[in-house]
Amino acid sequence: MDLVYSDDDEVFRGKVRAILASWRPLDQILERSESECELLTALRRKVADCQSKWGGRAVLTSLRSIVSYEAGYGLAPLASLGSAIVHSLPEAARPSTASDSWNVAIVPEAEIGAASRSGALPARVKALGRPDDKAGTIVLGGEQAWIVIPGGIASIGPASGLDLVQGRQAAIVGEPGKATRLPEISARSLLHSAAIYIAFEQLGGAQRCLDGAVAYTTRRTAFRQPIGAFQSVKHQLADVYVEIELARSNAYRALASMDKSIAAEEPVEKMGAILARVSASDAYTAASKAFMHLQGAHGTVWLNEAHLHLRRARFLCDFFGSPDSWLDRIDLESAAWFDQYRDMEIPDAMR
Amino acid sequence: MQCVDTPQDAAFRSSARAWLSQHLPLRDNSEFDKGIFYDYPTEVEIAASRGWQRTKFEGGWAGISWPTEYGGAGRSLKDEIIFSQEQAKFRTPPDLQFIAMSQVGHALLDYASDEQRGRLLTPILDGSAIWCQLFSEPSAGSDLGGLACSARRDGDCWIITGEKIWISDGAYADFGLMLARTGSEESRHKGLTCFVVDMRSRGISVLPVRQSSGRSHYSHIVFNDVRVDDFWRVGELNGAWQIALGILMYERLFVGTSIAFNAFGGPRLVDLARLVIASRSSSSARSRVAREHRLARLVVKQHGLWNMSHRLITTVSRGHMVGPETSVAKLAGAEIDELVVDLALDLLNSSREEFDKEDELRLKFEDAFLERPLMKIAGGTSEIQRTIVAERILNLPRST
Repeated sequence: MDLVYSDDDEVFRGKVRAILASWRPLDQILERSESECELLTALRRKVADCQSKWGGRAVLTSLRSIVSYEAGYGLAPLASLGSAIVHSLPEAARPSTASDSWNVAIVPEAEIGAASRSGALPARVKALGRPDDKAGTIVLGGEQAWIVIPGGIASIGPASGLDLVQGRQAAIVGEPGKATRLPEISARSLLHSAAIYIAFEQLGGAQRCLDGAVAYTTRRTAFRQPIGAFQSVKHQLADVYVEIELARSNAYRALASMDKSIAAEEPVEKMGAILARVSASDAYTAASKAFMHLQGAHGTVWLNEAHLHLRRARFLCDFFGSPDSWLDRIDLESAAWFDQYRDMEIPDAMR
Repeated sequence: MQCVDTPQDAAFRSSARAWLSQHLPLRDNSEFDKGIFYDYPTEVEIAASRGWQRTKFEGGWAGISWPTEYGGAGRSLKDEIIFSQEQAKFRTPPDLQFIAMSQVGHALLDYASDEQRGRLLTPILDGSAIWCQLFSEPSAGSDLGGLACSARRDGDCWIITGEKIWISDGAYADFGLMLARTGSEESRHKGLTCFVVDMRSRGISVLPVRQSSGRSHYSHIVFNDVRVDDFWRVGELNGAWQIALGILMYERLFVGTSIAFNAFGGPRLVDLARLVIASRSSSSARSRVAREHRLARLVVKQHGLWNMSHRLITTVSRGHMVGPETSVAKLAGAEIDELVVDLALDLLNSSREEFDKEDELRLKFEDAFLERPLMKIAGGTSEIQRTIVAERILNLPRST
């Protein structure tokens, strides 16, 4: 039984978190000193450097999940959605292309991970980037997926209301015929693994909100005591903690299941994705609301990061399918989800 | 990251299951389950519970993590949890040994004297001693510093006077582990001492507490000048607080790692799923979707609870003790149970023809409806659990 990150994984997490902390991306976003896209590109370069120094372990799902989590924790307004999708690329591509060149966790040279919510491949797809670039842009919509090779780049359109970067509908500019449509089973597998990584990103954001709320309510005094000493405040935060821990438990189990699928060269199954996505959406939503509310009016100003999380939580909640749409995928007719969990010896419990 | 047994764990689990299957039938989830707070067991059930404990003792499966000198198997806490999980899959007699085998037994191992351990522990393992935990009182439950039941010194004895209430197994327990006030009222938790009380002692009266269901699980116990020899004092005079914390820690460990797997967790959800599926034909599309989303969300939450138990077991398997994080399992488990029962009764009381013959299931969920408020109270109220999470995990300040 081993449902926990290894010590080596935690060292890696420390390095990723240190990069983000030293770089202070939230401050830069809030002060508008750099464009989001420049920041995102720079971040990817830094994290890719870190991963390459890690001796090739970057392809491990546990490290990818850590990158997603830490990006959610330290980088709320700058979606790491792109990294989540690229994380999924090797698994998705393996059945058809089986090439080591796809083992790229973070690609620093290109803007990747463009996403379309339209459910259809945009009419014009143009391959940008160097011809020998092995990176690809994945376009996902509904349960369909295409890989655009080589080195596609997404142009970012105007902002939608909520999400500062990824809420913008990605417009793919290019020529048709450059896209490779994945087989359905691969597309589903890609969707499921990307959903799991996004859940880690949501989980990181939720933890950031909880940490921020705890710090503020410990520091801020009212009626001659820290507001965090009031039971109503404590209990709100305890409830958020419970949501996060349940979501973390589901995400860890989903990751374990994904590891097993990859090792067996099988598609990533849906149950882990459902559990991780739904519970992480709930947790980030609850945490971001509490983070803003418990700071009172201070929580509502631009220079407070709370609105960034509120936006991001709302956007990610609906992105890649709303929680309800994921719930629709549970096979209620079969109580296998119960029996298999009761029997811990069965490693295929996440079917 | 993995979520499968190590080869050693799998081998132990397999041997436990093989032994259990030789002695018990598998649990049938469709059978009526009385739940945790149902009623006093019958004499037959008490005898069966003792007998099953005796069988485990003779087979070498009692007290998996207890030292061999007391009849235990001398293995790890993790193995004890694995055995409990396997045992939960079989139809056992009512488990009247849970308190003795979990928090009380482990507290005695940690805090009792060698001579006390020598006399008390083996009878727990061989089924001859059932125990209760004598903590709560009519005017103090969550706040143990407010306990009033007193013990005053009389030569080599102590005279215990006062009341304890909400005592599981109190009506038929052979021994009780008691917190009693030996200091002043102002001394709060620093004026408490721990005693082993022979529940057959003169001066003890046991009254059933009739619950909202009309049945009685708990007892109200009155101590009228009950004499206890100083030999049965556990730990130092006025030093019970550490023991109490140890007991609560073990209680959280065993409840936290088993709550997701015990009777009220999964099986009720399976029953509910059956009802929801059966109601499809007589439901409008709108109500069907809404109901199935409620069910599916509960499935997701229940999985979170199961997976959280796996994480707790991982912690234990690495040689660490779990602490206040088990409050999360209790909080979430009580909430999920309430939502499951609500949805089930919504369906069963909706006058649907397809549920006309579901009287037994209706009774089951109505019992659960009356039982569930206790899930938010027993073992520390949900409010106390939230405060534990806030202060001991999130490190929020205490109120002034």
